[in-house]
Amino acid sequence: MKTSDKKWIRVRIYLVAIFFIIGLGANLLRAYQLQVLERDKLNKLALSGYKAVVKLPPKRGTIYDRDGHILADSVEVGSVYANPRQIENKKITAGHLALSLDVSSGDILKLLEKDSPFVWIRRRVSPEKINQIKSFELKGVGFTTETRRFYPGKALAGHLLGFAGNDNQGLEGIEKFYDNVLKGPNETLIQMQDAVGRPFYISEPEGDGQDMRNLVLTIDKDIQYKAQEALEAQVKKANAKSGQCIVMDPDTGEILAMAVAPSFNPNIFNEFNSADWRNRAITDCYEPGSTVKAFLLSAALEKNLITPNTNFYCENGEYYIGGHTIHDTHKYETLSASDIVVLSSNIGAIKIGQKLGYENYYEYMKKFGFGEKIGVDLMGERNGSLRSPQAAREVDKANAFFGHGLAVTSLQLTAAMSSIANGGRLMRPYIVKEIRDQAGNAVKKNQPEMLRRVLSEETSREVKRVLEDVVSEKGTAEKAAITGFRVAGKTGTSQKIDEKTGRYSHEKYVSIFVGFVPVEDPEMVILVAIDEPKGATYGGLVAGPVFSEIGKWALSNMHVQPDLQVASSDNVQEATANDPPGQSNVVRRPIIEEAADMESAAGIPDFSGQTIRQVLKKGKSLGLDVSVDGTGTAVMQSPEAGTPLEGITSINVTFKPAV
Amino acid sequence: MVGNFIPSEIQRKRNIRTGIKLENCKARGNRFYFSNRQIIVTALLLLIFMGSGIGYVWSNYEGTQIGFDLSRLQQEERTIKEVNRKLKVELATLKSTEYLEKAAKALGLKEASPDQIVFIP
Repeated sequence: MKTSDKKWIRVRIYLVAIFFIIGLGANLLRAYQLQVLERDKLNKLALSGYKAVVKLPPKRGTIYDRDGHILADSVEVGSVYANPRQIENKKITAGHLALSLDVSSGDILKLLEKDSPFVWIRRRVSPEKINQIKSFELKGVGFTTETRRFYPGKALAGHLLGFAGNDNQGLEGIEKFYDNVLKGPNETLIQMQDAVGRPFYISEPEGDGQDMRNLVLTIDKDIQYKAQEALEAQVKKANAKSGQCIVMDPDTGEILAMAVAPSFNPNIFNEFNSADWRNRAITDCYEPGSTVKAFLLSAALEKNLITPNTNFYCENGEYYIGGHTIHDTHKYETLSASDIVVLSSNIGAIKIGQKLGYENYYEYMKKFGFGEKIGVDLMGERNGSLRSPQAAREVDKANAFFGHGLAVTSLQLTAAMSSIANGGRLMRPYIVKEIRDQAGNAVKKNQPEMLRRVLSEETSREVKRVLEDVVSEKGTAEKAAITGFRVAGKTGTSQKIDEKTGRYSHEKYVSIFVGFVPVEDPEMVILVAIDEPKGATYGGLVAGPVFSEIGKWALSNMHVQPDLQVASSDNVQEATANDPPGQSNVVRRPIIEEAADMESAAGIPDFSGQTIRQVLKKGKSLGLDVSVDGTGTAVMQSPEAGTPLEGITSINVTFKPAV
Repeated sequence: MVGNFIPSEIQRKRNIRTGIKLENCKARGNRFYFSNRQIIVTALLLLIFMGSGIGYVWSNYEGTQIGFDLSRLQQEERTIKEVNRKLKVELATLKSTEYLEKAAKALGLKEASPDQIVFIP
């Protein structure tokens, strides 16, 4: 081989080598570019092909009543949207949509004719309607999932619960006050899918750290229902403007019911005026009228300035003071302090007030919680107003003693009456009993909170005795009585200011009754206020019967045994034929005392052959705790019949079905 | 001594195509030939290779299928939970006092008076 040939071969080898080196270098550079420089961007691009981030519909905590019944919950519902640019025959599409959604096709067509890539057709529609629309397979029409807040009780506690808006935000009531607690996290999950969109991996939902909680209220849905129903019926019957009712446990401050009439349904809050959403029980103030006489008496008794029997001259129904003449509905000469409250004499109240002094009255009204927010966990609570001793003229002071010239909310009045009922302690009213996590564990428990002691136990007892007489034939609130129970309370009828004249109106009144039951150990304080009733306006006549109806229902609902002997239904018919009209069927003596007189001599009765109902009734009348075993009629008892009653507090009775 | 060992022709020669020493073959010529042991080993290796290949593909396929099933079940779980929530709301509606009172009144029932109520301890 020649030398030149050898050289040529070497050159060719080098050429080939250079070619390969350049090629390899180019490949390496490209690899570097793809794997290092553009790694993140390409990674994202690749993932987007098979990975989708799904945004879950926002959730919201559930609201329960005190027994765990759902008052508000969120569920997923479908929403329909459209891309008008993709729709070929808009008329036919609008026709199909209108048919399924029960709306006019003209409205839908207007939406479809918009030059926009996205329009909502209808949000939050029922699954049936969604399925119907899906079956038409309409081009350019899509579906998405959203959550909708449901209030299964409809108008039940509507004013209290408030409502949440389309974007999961609380707008009124508890929904707004506890929005931070109820609001759930905005959750997303990662879903990997194949070429045809079938998911083959779904990650666990990831939230934004927001914890969703459920609320347990102090409200009892059954009592709430009755309060609302009875109040609404009375507002309608009295042709009144509105009404308010609060039922509260005086020992704890738990609100068992808070009703406002006319009612409002939060499921369809858009269909109501914003004024109808207002929870008037805490946002509206009115003059409390004669109801304050209970607090006036309490203050005077607590200060030891009077006794219930102290007499006051009531000026024969007409009293000139501070350039004004005050009138009483009925003319009285001299009345005791208790009768002034029972018969609701305004002049008598002024006389008690004068003895007490406005400074003391003002101090006690403040102590009872008037003139400032009481601190309930609800939106929009108002202060009310109370004239300070410096700002009050003589006539203002006189008016204030019988409840005019000051403004209170229904909640303040209820809380104040509760403090008389529970032995003198002012409790903070509250609505939320517990905040729970999703597993049902309590995260926070609201405990009863005593704000201050207003009265001594002794004064409270004396005032209760007087207030019990208000709910008698002698008093102003006979219609508030509840068969079988001892009831106490105070009526009030206050004149409203006429907006046109700026003076007290002779046509517009607020009729109030606030009372408690049973007197000895009150289970509940009930306030009923009817705004601008037509016809009869007295609190005892307008609000009293509502108190009675709600009280009767609530006591039975709370399994409170009657504390008075009640004539049975059969006996009532016989008795009423002979008795003069108006005579009560209630024997005003505690059952235990009565029974003791008749039965103690005979010892424990023989229960054999009697039903559970008969045995329990008899046992109760003897003051015995009866423990029941089995069903049917009594076959055995321990201690045996005839055993002396002394020292025996309980009895076991065994029942067997009759053969 | 090793130096004295002179391999025979057979010992030196190899099959031209396979490179296998002729002395290890039954046929001492240049014919293509595998011993039984070689066939078994080769077959076994092939089987292992194919088996692991198929196994790999199969496990991948199964993994994806399980992924599909899991995703479907997860979606189903969410749907069922949501249905459960809806049913609870439905139940709450049906158990509302208003509804029950209406139903009771339709059946001719009425409110009991206090003396008709006996509370069982």
